[in-house]
Amino acid sequence: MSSLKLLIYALLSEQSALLSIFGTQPVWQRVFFFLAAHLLASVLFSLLLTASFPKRFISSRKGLLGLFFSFNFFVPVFGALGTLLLLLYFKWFLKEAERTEFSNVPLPPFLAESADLGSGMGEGGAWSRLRTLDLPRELRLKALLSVGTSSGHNSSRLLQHATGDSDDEIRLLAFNLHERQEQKIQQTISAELHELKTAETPELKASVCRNLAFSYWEMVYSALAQDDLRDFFVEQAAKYAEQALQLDAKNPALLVLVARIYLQKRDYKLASETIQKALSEGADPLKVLPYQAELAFYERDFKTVRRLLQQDATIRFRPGIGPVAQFWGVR
Amino acid sequence: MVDIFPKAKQVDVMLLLEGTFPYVSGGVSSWVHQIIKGFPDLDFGAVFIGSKADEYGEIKYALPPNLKHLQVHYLHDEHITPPVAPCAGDPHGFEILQRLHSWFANPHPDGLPAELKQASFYLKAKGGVDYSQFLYADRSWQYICSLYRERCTDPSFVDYFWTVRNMHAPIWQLAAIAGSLIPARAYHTVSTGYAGFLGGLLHHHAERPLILSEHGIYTKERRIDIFNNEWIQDNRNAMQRDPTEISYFRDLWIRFFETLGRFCYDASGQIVSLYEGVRQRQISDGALPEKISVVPNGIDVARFAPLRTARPAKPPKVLALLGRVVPIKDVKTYIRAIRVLVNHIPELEGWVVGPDGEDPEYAAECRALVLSLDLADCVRFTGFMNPVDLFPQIGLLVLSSISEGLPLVALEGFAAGVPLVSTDVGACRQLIEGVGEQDQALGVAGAVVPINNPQALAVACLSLLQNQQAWDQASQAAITRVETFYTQQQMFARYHALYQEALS
Repeated sequence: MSSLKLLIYALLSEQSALLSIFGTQPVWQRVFFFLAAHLLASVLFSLLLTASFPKRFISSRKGLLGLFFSFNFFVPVFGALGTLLLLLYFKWFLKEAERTEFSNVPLPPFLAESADLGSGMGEGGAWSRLRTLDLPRELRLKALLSVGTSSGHNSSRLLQHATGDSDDEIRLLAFNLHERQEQKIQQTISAELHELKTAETPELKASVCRNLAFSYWEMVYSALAQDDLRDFFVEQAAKYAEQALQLDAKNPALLVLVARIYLQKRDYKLASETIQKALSEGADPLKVLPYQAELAFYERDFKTVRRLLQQDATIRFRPGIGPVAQFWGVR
Repeated sequence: MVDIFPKAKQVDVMLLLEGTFPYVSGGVSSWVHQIIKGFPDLDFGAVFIGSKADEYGEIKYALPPNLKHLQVHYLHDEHITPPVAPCAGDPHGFEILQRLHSWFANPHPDGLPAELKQASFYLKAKGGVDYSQFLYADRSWQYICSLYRERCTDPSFVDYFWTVRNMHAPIWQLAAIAGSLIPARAYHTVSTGYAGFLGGLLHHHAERPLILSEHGIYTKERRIDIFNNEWIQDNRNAMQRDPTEISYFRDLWIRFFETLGRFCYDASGQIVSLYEGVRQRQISDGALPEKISVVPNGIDVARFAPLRTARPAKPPKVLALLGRVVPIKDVKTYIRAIRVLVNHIPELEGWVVGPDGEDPEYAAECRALVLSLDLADCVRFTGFMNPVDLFPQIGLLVLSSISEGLPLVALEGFAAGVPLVSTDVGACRQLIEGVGEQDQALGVAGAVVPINNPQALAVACLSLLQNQQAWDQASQAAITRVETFYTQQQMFARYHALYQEALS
């Protein structure tokens, strides 16, 4: 049925309701006719209004229908008049005003100083550009420069990939960016090793060993070493963590690190025991949660994975683990 | 300072050398030394261009008797500004300078405006722009201001002004050198850059031929340096900065060196590449293909041949990286590879054979890396060693460089029967696997691995060290290849023809 027909029926119904009040029938009959015709008019008006209402504003169709119906039914006559005005507004004015979501505004002066504002590039964009060998060198260099401004294992992997590029310039730049990331951690390791030789008190020694364990682990976590070299860094991290724990056995952060090392070495039993120990020593349960979930995953206990991830309401917003949590249905 | 270097009134060939022979040891320097000694009938001169005197130690080579003239210039040390003398600036000179900048922006196939090719343009006050005008003239100030407004995207005018000044100052220094240098029948530069620009000026000034022998690509190496150094400012704020764009000043420096390169390519009558890859890059950087010829390095095979019998039958468990301890050699990847190798062969030793004074900070980082990888007993920094003493003691020669030309040490190792494991840079793949049917039929003289990959480097070394047959075959292929394609006599014959043409 077309909207026009609906509108005519609605108007006729409302008119009938109005006329029935002034009829000669007994009161109860007039009230009955009024209510019946007004009910019909209200239903038709609310349907009409809901259909004309701009879709982008509708979050619940039932709710909207209920609202319009209440408006029409409980405010007789005036409700119908209001509906007519709204229909006209929706029909004519909203149609005329094809609203643009974005409009152009002049750049503020501090931005206008820059001759050309680039679009930027995410990791995905950079990957795809660097993998496409027939793209112009300038475009691929841009992708590489973009990667160079970030850090973390994804960035390291991308730079490592680019060091094998067929273009000399790309691979040299990638090498230098990769080397710069590694250099920072390497300098810390060297400084701490030097410090370890002169550390006299057990507290200082424990602190240096802890820093060394975390620094060696950072090489692994940031994917700055592969294969045998990565295994060596894992062993070094374990060695210094062990030494630090001998002097500071109840350090929860160190215990979590040791658990992560066991996870890396796929020794799940020890990893689980160490996590429990860390928790008993006061480790933040929310920080340990992803590792517990990882352990559960390796044990194929997927219900526990989901349950654990759901314990942290903010986990889905965290970088790295967020998409994993969303994959496991965390809302 | 007393000038103790040989002096002459005229030479046959004037070599233009930037940061190399005789103050820096390395492949290019050895090659220059070899060339001078290889042509005893020619009188050579050399102009060494360095940055600061205290960055270079003593002369590293015995100067051959036919090096009749040597003069040394340090661009930073000799950067003496003339007394402040306010002036308006020569209108004609600045008009030409503006044309120069237009040419840089849109190079014309006919080449530079003729006036700018002459060193005298930069030395005379009338009809040219001398250094004093560049520094103090009103026109110079106005011109810099107008260029800043038109082109600069960095907000700091102060940085722009000083970048322009510092960048261009060497031009006037080089013009002064060109104006006062003794005559030569031909000029020969081994790089583009400042030495190449001086060569271009000398070619136009003296109207004598210029030969360019490019071992690596100077412009590319500067470009990488500029991408990575910390001292070039970027004053844009976070809102103005685009992470995919390099800063304006970095771009300015890159374009400056590219322009110097184009000027040199334009002036050179003959351009020599070490291998096809360099040739292709030179063409893409603006060199005319018809000017370029490929002449690979060659060595004195007879000097190393007796070492073959001195070597043990089984591969010694010693690896050597033969080269300067500088970032471009990527010594760190070599050290990491030793870490992997020692896990499999505990008695293995890795030697780093070469001077470590050129970049002391990097050398210290390498030593610290050795300690952090628990390799104090396995890695030795031997300093310089005579290759004749070294080769009989090692099982493999390793090059983990991120950039190379056609390394002479590889050829020397080949002549002694030492296989090479190298990163896939420069002509290393060509040396190891051969190029062309005849060359490839000789076999593989080692292994080629990607750069920055310690695991691959270690695995390649391991497979040669633990496989006697593969090691013997690689050794034999190395000997045959160097004897067939990379002898000193072959290289001299090519250069003899080049010099004949230039000197005629």
